[in-house]
Amino acid sequence: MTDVTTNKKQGSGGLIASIFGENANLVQILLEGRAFFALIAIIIIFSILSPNYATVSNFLIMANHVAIFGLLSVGMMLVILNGGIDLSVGSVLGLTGVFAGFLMQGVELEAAGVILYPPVWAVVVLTLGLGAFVGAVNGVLVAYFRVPAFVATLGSLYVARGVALLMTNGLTFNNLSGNESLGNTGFDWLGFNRIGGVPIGVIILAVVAIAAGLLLSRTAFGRWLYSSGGNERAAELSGVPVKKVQITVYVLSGMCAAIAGLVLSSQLTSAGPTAGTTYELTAIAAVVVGGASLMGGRGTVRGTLLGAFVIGFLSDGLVIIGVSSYWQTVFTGAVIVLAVMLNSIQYGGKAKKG
Amino acid sequence: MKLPVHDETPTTTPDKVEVVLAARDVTKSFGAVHALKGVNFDVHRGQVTTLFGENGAGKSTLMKILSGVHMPTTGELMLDGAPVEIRSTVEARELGISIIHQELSLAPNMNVRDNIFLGREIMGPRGVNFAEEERQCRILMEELEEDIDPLTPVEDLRLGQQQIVEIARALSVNSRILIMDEPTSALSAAEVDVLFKVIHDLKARGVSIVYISHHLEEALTITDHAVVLRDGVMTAYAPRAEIDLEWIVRNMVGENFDLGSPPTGYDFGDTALSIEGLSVPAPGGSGYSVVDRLSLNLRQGEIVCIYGLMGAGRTELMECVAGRLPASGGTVRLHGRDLAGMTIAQRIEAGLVLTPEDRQRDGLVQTMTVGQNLSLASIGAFTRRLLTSKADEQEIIERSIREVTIKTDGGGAAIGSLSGGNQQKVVIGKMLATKPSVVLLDEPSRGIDIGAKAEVFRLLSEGAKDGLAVVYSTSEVSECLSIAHRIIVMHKGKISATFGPDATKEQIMAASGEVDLQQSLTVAFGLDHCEVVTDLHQEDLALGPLGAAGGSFLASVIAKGKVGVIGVGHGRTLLSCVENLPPQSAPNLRVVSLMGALTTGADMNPHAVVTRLADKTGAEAASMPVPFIANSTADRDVLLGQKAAQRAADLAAQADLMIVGIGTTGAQAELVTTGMIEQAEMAGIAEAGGVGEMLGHFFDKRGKPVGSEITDRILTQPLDRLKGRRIVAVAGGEIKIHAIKAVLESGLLGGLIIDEHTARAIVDMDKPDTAQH
Repeated sequence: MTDVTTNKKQGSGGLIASIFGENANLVQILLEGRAFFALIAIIIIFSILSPNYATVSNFLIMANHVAIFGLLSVGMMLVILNGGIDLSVGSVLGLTGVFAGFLMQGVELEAAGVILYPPVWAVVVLTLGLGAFVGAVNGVLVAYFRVPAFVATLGSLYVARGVALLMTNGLTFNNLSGNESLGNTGFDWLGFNRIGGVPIGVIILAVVAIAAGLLLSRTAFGRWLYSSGGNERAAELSGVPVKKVQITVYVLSGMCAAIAGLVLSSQLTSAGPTAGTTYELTAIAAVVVGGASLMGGRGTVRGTLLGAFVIGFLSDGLVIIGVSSYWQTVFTGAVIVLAVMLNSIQYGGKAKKG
Repeated sequence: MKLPVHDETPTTTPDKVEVVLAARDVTKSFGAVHALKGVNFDVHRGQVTTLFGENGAGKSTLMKILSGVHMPTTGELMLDGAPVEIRSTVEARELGISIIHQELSLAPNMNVRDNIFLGREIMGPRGVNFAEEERQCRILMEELEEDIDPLTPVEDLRLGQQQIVEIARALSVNSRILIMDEPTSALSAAEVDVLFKVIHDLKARGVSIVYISHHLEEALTITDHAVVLRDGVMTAYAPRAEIDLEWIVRNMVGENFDLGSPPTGYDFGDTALSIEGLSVPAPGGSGYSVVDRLSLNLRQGEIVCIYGLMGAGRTELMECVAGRLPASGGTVRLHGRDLAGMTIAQRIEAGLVLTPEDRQRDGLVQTMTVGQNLSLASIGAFTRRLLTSKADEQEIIERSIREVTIKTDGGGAAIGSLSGGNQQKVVIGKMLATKPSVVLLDEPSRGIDIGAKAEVFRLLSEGAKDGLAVVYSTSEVSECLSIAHRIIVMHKGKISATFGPDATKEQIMAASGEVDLQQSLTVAFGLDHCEVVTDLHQEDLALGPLGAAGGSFLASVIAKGKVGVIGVGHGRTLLSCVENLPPQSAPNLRVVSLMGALTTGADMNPHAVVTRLADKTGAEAASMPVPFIANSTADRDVLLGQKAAQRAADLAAQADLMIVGIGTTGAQAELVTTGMIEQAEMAGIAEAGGVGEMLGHFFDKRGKPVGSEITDRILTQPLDRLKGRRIVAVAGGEIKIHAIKAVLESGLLGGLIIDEHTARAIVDMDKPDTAQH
């Protein structure tokens, strides 16, 4: 017995109505586009507070920072759409970076008495494979062993971090530039180069985001993901392979973390085992600020990217105007809480219907 | 025919009994849906008022209003004659109104004491005063005459006991009015007896009870008043003395909106779905099957309706066929193809779809739009290579909306904006869009208004004309008699009856087990003790469960200490009862064998029952050391005159209880196989009309004793000494159906312990023309 209501309010008329539709009103528009408006507000505020903020070169630098978190966020968004969560992405970022470094240093095979120097493309493939593997382990734990996502990925967080520390003995792989004679140069291309002035990292983020967007909106998988996140039982009864979808999103998240690991370690040309610590929380924050629901079934790539930019531009802005880094933490936290509250206002009303 | 067991005809005329709580012209609307329309409802002090009505009639809504969950849209509630507003469940409780839901609200991980005082802990100087709580608990349990230790964790209690705990909780807050929603749905017969005793005690203490139940006959035994709701309106009210089963059904179901009739004018096609011997295990690994070796065939164009109560297994059957639940036996074939191992997606692909019972939980994705929900099962149809095609999807959506007549603001509308009926159509439309050949619908008309119901049925009817094979389940009898070509009634996992569209509502309801087996036997044969034991699905002889039941009956009789002499017959069943007897000490008891028992067969000792019983209880045993049958009548008299036989006979004459088995008159009868009587002699008795045997007496199918030259030679208690004595028989098994019925017809039995399968067969034998599956 449902209340048959629709969200019909009187339009504010005129300009707003013509852009946003007959029944839009100001509050509604602000709510739905909040990440976008927040970003605009941040840019405006910091531009006023610092002349250095609103320059192209600064934006590109900030974008480069955002790229790492953005990559993690895209993967995280897929998992959150499914109703799960992936706490291990920060550790996977560190682990994969270390793994790439390990391969670049040269793999010593004692038995055969040789040292393998895999070419850069092989390193990339193997590293992605590692990320996918960790994701697969997470996925199987959640889908088949019914371990709650929080617990499974928390476990992976520790295990991955531990393996990274073991591999490096706590030290850092420094020699990642490669050697002409060994045929494994090019690693730093990912981190340092620019195409048309845009850092490669940002371009990679754009490519991954576009791919994810297409996946969600134009493929069967995307439909499967939205439906199993929205109501897993209904999806299953409608023929959606929910378990396969569940494992796949964790694999994809792991791979995104691996890409982020590669980009970061090439930006720094060093791979440390502690890289990425607490990055998963920022990734979750970005997804939430972007308007996704932690219950699953709602969220877009566009929103997630906006969320990542909001957090990134906010943090960097605070650095530029000289605010202590401790305040950054407070601000970031406040933004997340505000975002979650707005999410529940937007979705809370809808959840009561039907 | 004797009166039913729990005869509680009220001794005061209802009108004179005070009304403690009343609803006056109560209306409740949820938006456009009117759940209750001008209902008047009285609760009388110290009496049971039962509320009858089909699903969706408004019973729960009314109860929610009485217990404070909702407030009436218009109308008022009167408590003790004064208007009152009950704004919350807390307020209701303070006014003395408690509700016990069908799903009990106890915390299983806590013990009884903590549950009873949940939220109202008794505080002492050092925190919670557990001792005081325990003391009060024990007092409550004593009042309810229940032996439950307050420290027992609730999850360790049987369901019936948990219910007692809930009642205790209600009493501990001094509830004057207790609302019980379907309290017996999940209880065993013995637990129901306990519950009814408790209700009786509560009434004596002045507690008023509102009772809701689908088990009509059972409710009739406990109620003082009956109120019937239909579609939110009170259609009838009467005191117990003026009503019967037929009255209830007539008022519950009434004249209906025409939901259509079975489509005609075409032939059925090939067999589309073939289910053979399908069993589905109950969740939780209890080993019991919620669908039990069920077989069903369905042809293209045919519409089958499955009717049954909650727990009958309808949903599990459909979910198993659809691929959601695993089967533990049997096969399902779709167009001849075995579906074993196929996933849900594969079955949908093959043309078999299911619309689930709970559309919110299992049918709709609330975060997606109407269009996305409609196309969810057909994603493959609009995906080319890797990408989905918006145009193709739109076509599918629009076609669905048109064909299923969904009232929506376009495919882009949020699913939550649709009415219940239209949401249901979306779920159905989603499945129909996959162009299936077999459609299973679990309660498709649940929670939707009558207009939408009619449209849904029209849709299914049209589909069938086009060759669709349709199976739909329902718990409303009137829906069975609409478009179905065939009506199947399920009860406890099996098909209990099959009807054509010309069946009557009473026939259908009777077959669903809404009629209590025990009740039927008790009433039909004038028993004062009847126990129907679940046969745990053993088909030939439920020896185990029967033995257990018989053993505990014996134990309780002996424990009461009121019997001095127990007479026993013999046979495997009785032996099993005695073996199951928990050891008890009854040194003053005497047990005596009731018939001659010397036999030619050395291995089977018919004395065994007597001697085992004596061993186990320390009682004094007396057997009848003479053969079962003598060479001639004269010999019989001589043998019966022997001292030992005389002593036994005298002792038998004093027996306070006789516990016997029932035998058949075939070549497999125990009397023959143990050598007590020769096959030829038995055949002679059978020829003379003998169908059943008890204590050496044979009866024909009408219960008349069969007398012949052969029977005159049998050494046993004479028939006139058996009349009017307390005789309880323990017997069961398919081969004994006619034998048991014959003995029942004789009127000699005072009690019967029988297994369910056999009991049902006996009850069904009396019914006219029930087509068995």
